[in-house]
Amino acid sequence: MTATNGKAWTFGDHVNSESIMPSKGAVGEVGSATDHVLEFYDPEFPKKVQPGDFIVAGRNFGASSGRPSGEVIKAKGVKAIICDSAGRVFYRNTWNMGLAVLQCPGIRSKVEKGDDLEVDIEAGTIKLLKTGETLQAEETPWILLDIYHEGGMVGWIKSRRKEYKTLEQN
Amino acid sequence: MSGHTITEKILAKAAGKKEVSIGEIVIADVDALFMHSPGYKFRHFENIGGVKSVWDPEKVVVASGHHHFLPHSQEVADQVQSVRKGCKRYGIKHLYDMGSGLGHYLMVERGHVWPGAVAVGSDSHTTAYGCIGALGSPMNFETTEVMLSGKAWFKVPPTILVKIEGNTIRGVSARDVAQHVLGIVGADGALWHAVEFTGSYISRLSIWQRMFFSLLTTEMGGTCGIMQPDEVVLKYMEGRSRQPFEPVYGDADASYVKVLEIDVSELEPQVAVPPQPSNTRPLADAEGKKIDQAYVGGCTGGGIEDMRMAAEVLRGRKAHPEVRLLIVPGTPVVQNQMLSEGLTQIFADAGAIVTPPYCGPCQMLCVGNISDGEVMIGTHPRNLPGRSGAATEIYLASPYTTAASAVAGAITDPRPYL
Repeated sequence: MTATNGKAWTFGDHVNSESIMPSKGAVGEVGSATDHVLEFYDPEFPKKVQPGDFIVAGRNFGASSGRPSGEVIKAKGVKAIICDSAGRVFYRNTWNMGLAVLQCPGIRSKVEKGDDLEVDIEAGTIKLLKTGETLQAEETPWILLDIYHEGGMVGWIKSRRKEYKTLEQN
Repeated sequence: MSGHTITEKILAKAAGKKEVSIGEIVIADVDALFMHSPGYKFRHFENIGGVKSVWDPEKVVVASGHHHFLPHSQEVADQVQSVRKGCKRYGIKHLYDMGSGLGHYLMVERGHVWPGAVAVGSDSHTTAYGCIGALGSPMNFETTEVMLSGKAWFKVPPTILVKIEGNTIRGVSARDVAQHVLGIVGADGALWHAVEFTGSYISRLSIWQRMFFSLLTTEMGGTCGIMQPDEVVLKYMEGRSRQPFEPVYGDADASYVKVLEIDVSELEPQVAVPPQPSNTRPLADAEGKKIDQAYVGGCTGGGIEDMRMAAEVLRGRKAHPEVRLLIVPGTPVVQNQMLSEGLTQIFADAGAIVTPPYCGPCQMLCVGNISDGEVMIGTHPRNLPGRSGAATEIYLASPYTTAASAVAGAITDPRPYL
């Protein structure tokens, strides 16, 4: 996969899943949550984020509840989330939704809101276009890359249909 | 070659391997799958197409009654109805419907997990089952795949050992101690780690009070929180576990990445202040803060011992007229025990609203929601922005402190009330 360019939206440490996808209506329903995604930290974000942009965050992004908050971010067209570290469940779930999360300790302090980045998700590299510096993210577990290649969990299951006794084979 | 921790040994067994190494990706057989809101997972099934059934009708547990004791709107009524249909269609045998109570208590109480089991769940507090020596870990979105394969992948976590010694002073409960430990470890202090709890303090607790420690490991970012099963656990499991089991124990020479030794002899009551569950402070720092609602219940406060602590404070007293006091038993077993011990009467006399069993207003999905600008204190596990409103202030404390604060109308040290 080739690298893609986009602008960075920056967030701090410990951004929790409830502030990405607030408790309203039913658990797990994206619904109107896209209108409010991350507004607690940056009211401009849900209004101005563009498809292809990146989120750059500090430690423990997506911490807490396992509500599928990555789907709300994905619905906004964000291409990847790059953070110092991510909440474990958020990290696993979001790759499973077909949205990449790269853990790259130290990234947050080097990026400001609006910076242009060039990100290669497969290689796990993030190039800061203002300085030319390239950072290397931590290795993504092979199973998550496999899932991502199939567009997320549902595609991955379909692509391996034969392995499931619980699925009809035809 | 050093030995292995209980977490490593459970994962090795479940993955059919002699041993596992830290950081390795293993695929484990799952013994129990907990789901509180499978609606969108059933929609995944529709997208996949041709789903005949879940992998094992005995091992999938759905607790629709976790978030709601009754549907409070047409929308929720429709959702629970579609969950009922989905369970039937996909052969899910264990459905705990409206009024059944809080799922994590039910998983243990009804024997769906046991020492040595691997349990995953759609709820982030699935770490709860570590209190009986099971490996409980949240998976959430991925539970769709687990329902079809009966397997889940893990990155084998290094283990942090937390040794807790000493006796607490009167008025300080296991909820305070667990809150204290969470404050020390921090919101990401156990990210991708297992946390193992041990020590004489832990061994004196009931399994329900131990559950606070395993459950709150999620608030530290952990993969699982666990304890070696002891006589208390084995006795509780007798005749309860849904299948025969062989407990798994860690090796005496297991290695840990970090060891925390905590003495609780002089610990004062604790409180978590907004906006993080791990923002633990001595209660004195929050004293005098006026409250609008107090809530005893939730997955770190819905047990019978929690109800007894609250009743000890509330006996012969009344909640402050400007405070709504909610008492939320975790399960019908707790609710019935409250009745037979006369606790329900004490709560009624105190002016409390006693709800049917469920998980409470922790995330404002059923009743007891609070408005912007309001302040709540509760025994539940989370106080994050967006969970119970964005502009609300939530404090987390023990049943003693929560009940005393309800009487005083402001956050208060419970000790003068005991």
